[in-house]
Amino acid sequence: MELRDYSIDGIGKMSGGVYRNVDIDGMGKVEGDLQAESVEVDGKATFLGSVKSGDLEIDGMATFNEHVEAKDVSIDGMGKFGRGLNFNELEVDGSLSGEGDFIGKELEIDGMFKVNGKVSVEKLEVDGFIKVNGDIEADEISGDGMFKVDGLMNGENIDLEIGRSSRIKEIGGNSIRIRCTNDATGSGFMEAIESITGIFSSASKGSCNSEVIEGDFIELEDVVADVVRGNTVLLIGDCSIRRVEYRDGLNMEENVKIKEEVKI
Amino acid sequence: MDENLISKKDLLTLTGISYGQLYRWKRKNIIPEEWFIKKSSFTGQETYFPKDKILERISKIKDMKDDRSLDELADMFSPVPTEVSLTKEELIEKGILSQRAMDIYEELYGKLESFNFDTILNPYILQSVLLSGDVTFDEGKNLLKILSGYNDINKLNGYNIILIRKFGIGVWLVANLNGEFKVDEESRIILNSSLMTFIEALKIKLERV
Repeated sequence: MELRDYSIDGIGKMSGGVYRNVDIDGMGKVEGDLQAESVEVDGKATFLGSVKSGDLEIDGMATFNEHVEAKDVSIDGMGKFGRGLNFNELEVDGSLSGEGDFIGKELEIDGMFKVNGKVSVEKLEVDGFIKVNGDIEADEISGDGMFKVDGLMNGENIDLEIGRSSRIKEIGGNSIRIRCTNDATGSGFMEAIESITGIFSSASKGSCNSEVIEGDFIELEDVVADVVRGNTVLLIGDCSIRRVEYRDGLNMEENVKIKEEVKI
Repeated sequence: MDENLISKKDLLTLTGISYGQLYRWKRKNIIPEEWFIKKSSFTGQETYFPKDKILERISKIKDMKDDRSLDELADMFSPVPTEVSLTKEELIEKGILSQRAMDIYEELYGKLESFNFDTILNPYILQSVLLSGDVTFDEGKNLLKILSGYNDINKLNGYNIILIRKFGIGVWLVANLNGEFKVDEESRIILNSSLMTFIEALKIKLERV
C-alpha cells in the first residue's frame, strides 16, 4: 500500500496512523500513535500518542507525551520528551528536555540537554550543557561544556573539558581525562578571595566536582573530588582531592592538594 | 539480609580485573546493576558486591571472554531467553535433553510439536536436578509442576529453587531470597540453586547446537 503524506499548515489536528511524511508547520496536535518515514515540526506540535519514525526533525517546538523511537533525530528548536527516546543518531542544537531513558548510538549535544532518567549510547559528544538526573553510559565520551550529572558517568574513554561549576557525582571507566576550562581572565573579586582562602581557587577557574572518580588511567586538571582511585593517576594544576588510592603510579604538580594518598 | 559482601577494592585485587573492565561489564549489563551496592565508609563511598555471585560471574566472564564478544556475553547473562525452536527428536539427538527427562515432561504435559527456550528450560532443570542424584523421581515431578506455574521467565531472575527434606519428604521452594535462611534441625537442605545458573547453562548448551 502506498503511504500518504500528511501536513498541517494552519491550526489542525490528526488522529495518528501510518504515513510517509508528516509535516507540521502551523500548530498541530497528533492525538493517537503515529508511525511515519519522516516527521518534521516547524511550528508547534503536541504528540499525545507514541511516535515511531525514520527521521525526526524539530525546528519549532514539539512535545511528546509517549515514547518516541526514531533513527535520525535532529533538534534545532525545542523538543520535550515525556517517556524517553530511542534513536540511532541524535543531534541537539537547540534544546531537549525529558523524562525517561534516552538510548541510542550517537548523541551530539551542541545546545542544551536536560533529562530526568538515564542516557545510554555508544558515543557522546557534548559542546553545550548537559544535565542528567541519572546515569550516563557511553563507550566514548568527549567534548567540552557544562555538566550536571547526578548519577554515574560510565565510559570506556572519557575526555572532557568541563566548564565552571560542573558536577558529575561519579565517574568510572578505563581512561578518564578531565580538564576544567581555565577562565584565564578571572575576576578580581574571585582572585582576592582565592588569595585569602585558597578554597575558591578552583571554583574561580571553573571546577568539576565529583564524589568518586575511578579508572585505570586518570588525568585530572583543576578538579575537586572526594576520592580518586586508579592504576595510574596524574594530577595537574589546582586539583584538590581528599583521598587518592593508586596501584601503579601517582604523579602530581606542586599546586595539587591531597589529604591522603594510599598505594594499594 | 546480612549477605556476604566484598568491596570493590578487594574484588579487583582478588580477581585481577581492572576498573575499566568492571565498568565496561557494568555498561554492557554483564554484571547487573543491582549487584552494585553503595555504602559509605571512612575512606569515602565504597561499592560492595554479593561475594559469591560476583566471583562466580567474573570467573565465567574470564573463561568465556576470549571466544565471545561482549554483546554475546550480555545475551548469555541476560534473563531474556534465546530464540530457539527445536523438535523433541532434535533435543534428544543433540544431547540437550535426555529421553528420560522428555518422558516425564510428556507424561505431565503431553507432546509438543516444537520447543522454545521456555519449554526446554523446565525439563532441562528437571534433568539437571535428577542427574545430581540428590533428587528423587517424584520430587522431580513436583518441581516441574511448580515451575510450570510460572509463565514469564524474566520474573524468575534472582530466584532460587530449594529442596528441603524432612523424614524423607521433600518440599520445594521457589523463592526470591536475598539472604540466609534456616531450617529446623531435623530438616535438610538438599538443593539450593539459582534459576539463573540453569538459564545460563542452557543458553551455553543451545549455543553449541
